[in-house]
Amino acid sequence: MQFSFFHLMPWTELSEPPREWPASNRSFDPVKGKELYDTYLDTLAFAEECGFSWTSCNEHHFSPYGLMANCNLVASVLAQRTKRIKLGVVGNLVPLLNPVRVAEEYAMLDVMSGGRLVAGLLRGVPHEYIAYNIPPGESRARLKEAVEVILRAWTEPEPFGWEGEYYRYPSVSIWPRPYQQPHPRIILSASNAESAEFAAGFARYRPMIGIVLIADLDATKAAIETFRTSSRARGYDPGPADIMTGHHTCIAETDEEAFAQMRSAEAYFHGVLMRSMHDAQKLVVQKTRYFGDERATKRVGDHLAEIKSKSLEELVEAGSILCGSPESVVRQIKRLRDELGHGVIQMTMKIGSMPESAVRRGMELFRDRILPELGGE
Amino acid sequence: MMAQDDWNPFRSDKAKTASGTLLFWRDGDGRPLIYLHSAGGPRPSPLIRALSRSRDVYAPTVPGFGGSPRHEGIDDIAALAELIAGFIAGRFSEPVDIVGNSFGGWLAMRIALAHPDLVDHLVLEAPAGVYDRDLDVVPRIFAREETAPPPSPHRAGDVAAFASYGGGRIDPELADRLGEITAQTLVVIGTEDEMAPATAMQRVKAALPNCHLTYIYEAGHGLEHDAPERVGRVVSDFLERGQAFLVPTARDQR
Repeated sequence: MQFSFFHLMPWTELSEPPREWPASNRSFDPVKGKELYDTYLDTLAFAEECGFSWTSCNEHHFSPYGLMANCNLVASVLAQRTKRIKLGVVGNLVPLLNPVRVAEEYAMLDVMSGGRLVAGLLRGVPHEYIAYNIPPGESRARLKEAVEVILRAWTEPEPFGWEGEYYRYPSVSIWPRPYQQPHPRIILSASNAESAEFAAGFARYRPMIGIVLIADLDATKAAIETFRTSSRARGYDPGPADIMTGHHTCIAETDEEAFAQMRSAEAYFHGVLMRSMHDAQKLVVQKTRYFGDERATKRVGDHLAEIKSKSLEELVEAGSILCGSPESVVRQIKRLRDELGHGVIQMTMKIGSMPESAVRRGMELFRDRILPELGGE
Repeated sequence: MMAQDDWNPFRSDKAKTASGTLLFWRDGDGRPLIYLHSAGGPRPSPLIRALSRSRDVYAPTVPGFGGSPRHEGIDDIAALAELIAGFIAGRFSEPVDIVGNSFGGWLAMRIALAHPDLVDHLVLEAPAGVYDRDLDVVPRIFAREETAPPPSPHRAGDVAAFASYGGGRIDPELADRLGEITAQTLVVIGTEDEMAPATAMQRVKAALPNCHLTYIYEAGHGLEHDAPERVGRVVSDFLERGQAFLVPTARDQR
């Protein structure tokens, strides 16, 4: 198995949830912010020493949920602070951005890191379309066209023009070209059957998929199966290493300790950081066709409600989170792997207000007692 | 509703040449423009109609296509280029713009190679003659069935004519001499083209000294029908503004 160490770079200093989304930045303290960036970057670099295969970051806007409006800035620091580990940039919210700029920045990261980029080409979460004034109802169509523009920009040997639906470019020829040939590894989201089918539509680029919101294992299994079947029909046979799932993860010496840490961290995550996001999300999802049909809209709503209402034990059982002693977590991972047949697990250890000492301890336990069990597979 | 093979308001006309009568369709006012059809034969398209709104469009029927008789002695692409070049030279005193679709793009390159003085701007839509293709395997031509034109009643004759002029193969002389085509050139190809490989278009773009290559999103080989607005916009813009079509204008912004 391969493991990705994922970070949201949360703001840890709120005593109550923001009233609204976007969240007022009045209480942001830049000195504390600098301290957090230093700590978080150290942690992300430490992932290499702990044997993770990827160190990973992502993009969010207008919220204490994550201090990474542009995760490429973070990845470029990590390119310098690490030597071998892959940089999981999961990823740029492509429909919100200029796809040529995305292609350029990713190509820079790929060259600067000597080909270590895993390039996430993601749709993002619905309410963030408000941030950049992009119609959420166009998100899928914009993503589809933007991915084509980006792949062309990476691979075309001659300057080219693009005449499309959402994008028009008279002449594009990016410098640098990417380090990986024919292009950097890409990863797309496939959290449900609809997005799994969409991801398989790019089979010619041999994408990875990532599923980071697991509410129940059967639905996840079905999404993976859809991706595999539909990709095979297009001449691409994804293996375990092409499929990733993401999990809030807490590893401690004992199950009791891990569950206690997770409980208080999740309280901050859901009760404070996610609160205004939920409200904004509901607004956008209900008022637009972001999720193709009503069933999908309801499903996503149910998903979030379900995750919030479940006990930690139930979330472990559902495959949403990994929590416990190293031995328990090894068991949980083996079960997921056997059920899903995938090969990449992404761990979010800095959950909400999780203390840094607990995050570090979890990483060391991963290195010393989990990786030796699973890393060779 | 107007049938898709109805050329109205284009008028049918003909010109005498040394080897026989050359049929052509014509409509519009303005600077003359030659449109050379694909191996699908002469048929109207949204692009031809759009061009005729600002240009005097001449669309000759290549002998043997659309049920027309062959010309004696016109047996290969070089002879065909001479025939069309003679038509252009006999009618216009200034260089003309040529738009060539697939097979017509190959013919247009041949004319530009042999008679650079006759050609102003050149638009090549997924041109033939620069890649090999097994003619027994016909890929999907149109990415959008709902806008595809009806099959031509002259299809068998069109296919035979295309093959007899050497269609479906790389034209070795052209391939060697691409760099001599000095006209301002625009190559367009659909992102879903299953006939013409993008790599061949990239070679053309690299070889011609004054050439741009533009991808038409979600269009197949029959790009004039698959994406009429996108093709029309970029082709018209290039013909209107030449190289300056690279410079965005307020009108382009959205």
